[in-house]
Amino acid sequence: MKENWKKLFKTPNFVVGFVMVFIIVFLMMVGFFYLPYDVNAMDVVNKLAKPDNVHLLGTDHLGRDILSRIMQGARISILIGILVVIFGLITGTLVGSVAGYFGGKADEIISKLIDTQMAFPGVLLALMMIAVFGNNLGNIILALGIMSIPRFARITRSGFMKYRDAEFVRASRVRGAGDFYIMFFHILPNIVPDLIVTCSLGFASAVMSEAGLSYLGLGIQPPTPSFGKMLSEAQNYILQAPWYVMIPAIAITFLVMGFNMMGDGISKVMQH
Amino acid sequence: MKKLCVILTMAMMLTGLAACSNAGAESAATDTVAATQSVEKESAAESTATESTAETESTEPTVVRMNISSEPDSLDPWQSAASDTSAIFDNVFEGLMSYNSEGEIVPGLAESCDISEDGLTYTFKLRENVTFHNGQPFTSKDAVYSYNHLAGLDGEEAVSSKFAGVESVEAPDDYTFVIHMKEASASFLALTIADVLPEGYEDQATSPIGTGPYKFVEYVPGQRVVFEKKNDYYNEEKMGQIDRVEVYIMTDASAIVSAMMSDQLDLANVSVENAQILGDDFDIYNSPQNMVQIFALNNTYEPLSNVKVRQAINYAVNKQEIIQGVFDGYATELYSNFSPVMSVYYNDELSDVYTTDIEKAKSLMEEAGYADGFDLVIKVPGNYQAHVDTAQILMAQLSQININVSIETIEWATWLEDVYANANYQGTVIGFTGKLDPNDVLVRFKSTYAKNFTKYNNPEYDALIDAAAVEMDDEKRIEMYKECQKIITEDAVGVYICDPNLTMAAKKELKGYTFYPVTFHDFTKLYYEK
Amino acid sequence: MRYYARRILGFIVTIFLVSVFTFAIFQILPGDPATVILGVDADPAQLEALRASMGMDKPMVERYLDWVAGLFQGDMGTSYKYQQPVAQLIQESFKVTASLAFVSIILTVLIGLPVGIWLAKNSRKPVATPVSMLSQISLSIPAFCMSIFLIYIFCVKLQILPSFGYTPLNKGVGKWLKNLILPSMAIALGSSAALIRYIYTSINAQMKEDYIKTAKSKGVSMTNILNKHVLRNSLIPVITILGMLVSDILGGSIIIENVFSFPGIGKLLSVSISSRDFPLIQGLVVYMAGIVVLCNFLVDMLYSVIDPRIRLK
Repeated sequence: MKENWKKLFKTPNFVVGFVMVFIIVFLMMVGFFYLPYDVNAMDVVNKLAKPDNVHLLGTDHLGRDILSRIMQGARISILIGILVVIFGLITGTLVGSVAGYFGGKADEIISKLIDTQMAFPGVLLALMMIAVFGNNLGNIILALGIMSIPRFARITRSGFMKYRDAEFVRASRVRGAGDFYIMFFHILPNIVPDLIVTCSLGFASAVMSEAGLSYLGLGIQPPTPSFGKMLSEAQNYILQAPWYVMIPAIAITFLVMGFNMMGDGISKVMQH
Repeated sequence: MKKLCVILTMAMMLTGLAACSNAGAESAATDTVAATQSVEKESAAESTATESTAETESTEPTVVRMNISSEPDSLDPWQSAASDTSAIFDNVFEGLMSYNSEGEIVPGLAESCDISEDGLTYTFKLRENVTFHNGQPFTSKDAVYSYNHLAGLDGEEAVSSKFAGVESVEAPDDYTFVIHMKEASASFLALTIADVLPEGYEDQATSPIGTGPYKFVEYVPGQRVVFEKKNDYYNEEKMGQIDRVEVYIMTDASAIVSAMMSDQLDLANVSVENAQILGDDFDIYNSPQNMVQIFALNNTYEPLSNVKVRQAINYAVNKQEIIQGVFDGYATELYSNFSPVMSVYYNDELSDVYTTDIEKAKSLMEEAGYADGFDLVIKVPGNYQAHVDTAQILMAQLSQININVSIETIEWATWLEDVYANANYQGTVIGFTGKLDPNDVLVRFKSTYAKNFTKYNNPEYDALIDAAAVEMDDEKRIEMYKECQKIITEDAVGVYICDPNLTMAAKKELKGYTFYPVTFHDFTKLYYEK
Repeated sequence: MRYYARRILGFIVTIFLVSVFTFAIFQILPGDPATVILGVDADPAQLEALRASMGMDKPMVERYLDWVAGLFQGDMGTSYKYQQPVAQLIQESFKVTASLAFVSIILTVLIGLPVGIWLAKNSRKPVATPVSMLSQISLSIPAFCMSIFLIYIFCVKLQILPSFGYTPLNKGVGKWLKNLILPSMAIALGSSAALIRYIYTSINAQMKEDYIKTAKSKGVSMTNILNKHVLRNSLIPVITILGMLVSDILGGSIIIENVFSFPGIGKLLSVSISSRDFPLIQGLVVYMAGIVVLCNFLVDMLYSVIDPRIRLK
C-alpha cells in the first residue's frame, strides 16, 4: 500500500493533477474559516475592478470580490462533482454488473434502457427535474447523476462480460460461491482501474455540465457562487474584463484537469 | 446629412398629419401648428430629396448586415405578437396609419383620415399608385379584406380582440375606406397602424408580402431573414437607400461583438458593456426605448397586500444603484409604469414620491406590523441576465429593512405560465417593451385585464382607465392617463425601476440609425456615407 | 437476418421508450407553447388562432396518439414554433450538424491518432508528460471559453475566418469549410484529447499481452510489433470511443452552436425545449435514438471487420 503511494507520487501526471486539485481544495478549506470579503457584498461603483491589492482577483460585474466567490464557489463545484460521481458509480455499477454478469434478457432490457437514456437530451431531463422538484442543488446533482449513469454502466458491463467466464470465476462457481459473492468480490476488483478513470472523467464532466447548465440559465440559484455560475455570469464581459472570465475558467480547468491527471496516474500505477 | 434626412421624413409625416383632420377641436388646433412647422421645413426637405435620389443611383448594391436576438414568431403579421418580429417586419408591412419617431400617429397607406363628430365613423382617403410586393395594386378592397379579418366580420375568428369595437366596414370607391364603430374609442386611431395585407393572398406565413419600402426575400430558420429594397416604392422620400438588409439571428452577446470586430456585421444591438469596447471603432447610438423594467409585486400575497409594505419596499430600493450596477448608468430612472419617451402622456411630477430613505421604509414596515421583516421569493427568467442581476441587487437592498429575499431563476416558458398567466409568485423582475398607446401600457393594472399579473385591484383606477379610453378630448385624456400613473405610483403596485437604453453599434460609415418609441429598426433611414 | 430483425425491433423499443418518456415530461413541465411563441404582448384571439391551427387545443394524450399514428405513416408532424414539417426542420439542421460532425471527426482523428500513438511509443521519454498535459488542457477548458478564444484569434485578430453562420455545401466547398473550421476545432480539441487518452491506455494494455512478449523474445523489432499487431488490436476501443463521439456530436452541442450561431441540431433542440414545441422535441428525440442505435450498430460492424473472431450475434 505504502509502496503504491510512493509510486503514485513519482508519477508526474498524478503529481501535477494533485497539485492542481490541492490548490482548489486548499482555497476552499481556507474559505471555511476566512473569506477576504462577504461573497454577496456588492459595490457597484467598483465593479469589474482589475486585480490589485484590495481585491486580489478583482471584482465581478456587481462589484463582488472574485477571490471570495471562488473560495466559496469551490464548495458547490466540488460537492456537485463528488456527489454526481458517487451517484453514477453506485447506480451505474449495479446496473452494469447485472447486465454484464447475467447477460440474456437482463442485459437486453438494461442495454435498451441505457440507449434510451443516451438518446434523451440531458437538458430536457434537467429541466424536468427542476420543474417538478424545484430548482435546488439536490435536483441539479440528481439530474447530472442520472446523466452519468450510462458511462459507468457501459464500462462495468463490458468488464463483467469479459470476466464472467474467466478461469477464476468458474473455479469459484464450482466451489459453490453465490452470484453476488462472485460479482462483487471476484469480478469487481478487476475493473477498479477502469472505474477510477471513469470516476475522474465523470467528476470532470459533472463540473463542466454544471457550467453548461448555468450557461443555459438553469444552474444553481444566484447569488450563491459556483465555478459554472461565475463563468456564465462572466461570459458577457469577456472582452471588457478578460480576467473576470479567466479566473473561473482556470478554476474549472484546474479541477477538471487535476482530477483527470490524478486518474491517469492511479490507473498507470494499478496497471503495473 | 443624417439630420437632414430625419427632418425630411418628419416633414413628410407632419404634412400628412395636417391632412388628417380630427373631430376634437383641441387636437385640430395642434394639427394646424404642426402644419405650419412642416411648411417651414419643406424647403430644406426638398434639397435633401434630390441628394438622396442621386445616392441611390450608385452601381454597387449596398448591404447592411445586422443582428436580432430571437427568431420571428410568425412571418404572417396578423399571427405575430413579438416586438422583435415587428422590429424588422415593420419595414415590409404598412397600415392605414403609421407612426413616426416621436410616437405620433401619422398617415400611412391612407393619405388622410376623417373622424366624424360622434367618433363613430372613420373615413380614410387611400393613397393611389401603391402596389404590393407581388405587383398587385393596393385598393380599398384590400383594406376591407384586412379589417374584416382583423375584426372577425367575415364569419371567421377575429385576428385580434382589440378590434371588437368595429361594427362594419365599407368601400364606397377604390380609394375610400370607411370604418363604422360600435362606440367611440380614443385609442382606435392608434390601432389602424395594423398591417394591411393583400386580398386573396394565401402564403403570408411562408413568403409574406406587404406594401412597405422593403420586400421580404428569405427566412432561414435559425440563421437569417433577408430583405431587399422595393424599387418602385410609392413614397420617394421614404424610399430605402440600402439595397439589401440581412438580419442574422444571433443569441450570444460575445459572438455579436466579435462579429462586429471582424467586419461580419455592420449594425448590431449590443449590451452597454460591449458598446464600450466597440466605442472607438464604431458609432454608438444610445437612447431610452420606452421600456419599463419593473420589480412587480403580487398584490394578493400576504405581506405585499399591505400598501405600507409595498411603499416601504419602494423607499428601500435605490434605483440609481441598479442603473449603475446593471446598466452602467445607461438607463432612465422611472417613477411610475411609464417612460418619459412618451412625453405627451408622461406625468413628470412623481419623481419625489419615493426617494430612497431606509428610515422611512423601516417605520412603514413597523406600522404595517412587519418590523421583523418577512421572506420574499423573487422569480426571475434566468435567461435575462439583466433581470437576474437586478434581483441580486434588490436582494441586498431589501435586506436593510429585514426582508429576506431569495432568488429563483426559472425558464422563460415557466415564467410566462407561472408568473404571467397564473400569478403564482411573490415578486418578479421583468421588462415590458414600449407601446404607442398609453392605454396598452397602463391597462396592465386594470383588475379585469386578463394579464393583470400584479393582481392590483382598485375600482377607482379601473374606472379612470375605462373613461380615458373613450375620452375624445385629447387634453382631458392626457390628464386622465397622468392621473392613472399617479395612482399606481402612490399605491406602489410595484417598484418601477428604469427604462434601459437600447444600444446600437454601427460602422462609422453607416449613418442614420433612428430610434422609435417602439422597437423598430427603420431600414429606410440607413445610408452609407461616401 | 434474425440479427437485423432483432436490431430493428430494439430500435423501435428504444424509440417507444424515449417518446413515452418525453410525453410524460410534457405532462409535468409548465409552459404553454402558444404563449411562448407569441410572448407577453399576445392577443387572446391570436393565441386561440395559433392553438387551433397547430392542434394545441386538443388534449395532450390525443396529440401524442396522433403523433404516434403519424409516425407510422412516416409523418413526424408540424413544429409549433416554426410552423414547418418537423422532418424538414430536422433534415435541414442535420445537414449542418452532420457537416460539423464530419469535419470535427476528421480533425479529431488527424490530431488524436498520431499524437496518441506517439505518446504510447514515447511514454518513457520526458517530453511525453508535457504533451499529454497539453492534450489534457484542451479537454478541460469549458467549451464556451474555447470557442471565444478561437474566435478571438482567427476572426478578430487575424480576420481570416468567419465567426458565425453556416454556408451550405452547394455554395462551394471552400465557403462551406470556412464556416466549419472554427466550431469543428472547438469540438475536436476536446474530443481528440479524449481519443489520445484511450489510444494511449489501449496500446499500453496491449503491450503487456503475452503475444507481444513472445514476439519480442523472437526478436521482432518494436516498430514492427507496433504496426503489425498492437495497432490493429488497439483499434477496438478507439472505434468505441469514436462511435460515442460521433453520436455525441450528431446530438448537437447547444453551447458551441449558440456561440457560432450555427443552425444545427443543438440549436433546434434548445429552441424546441424553450418553446415547448412538443412535435419538434418528439421528432428530435426519435432522431437521437436513431443516431445512438445506428452508431452502436456501425461500431459493432466495424468490430467484426477488424477482428473476424467477433461475430454479429
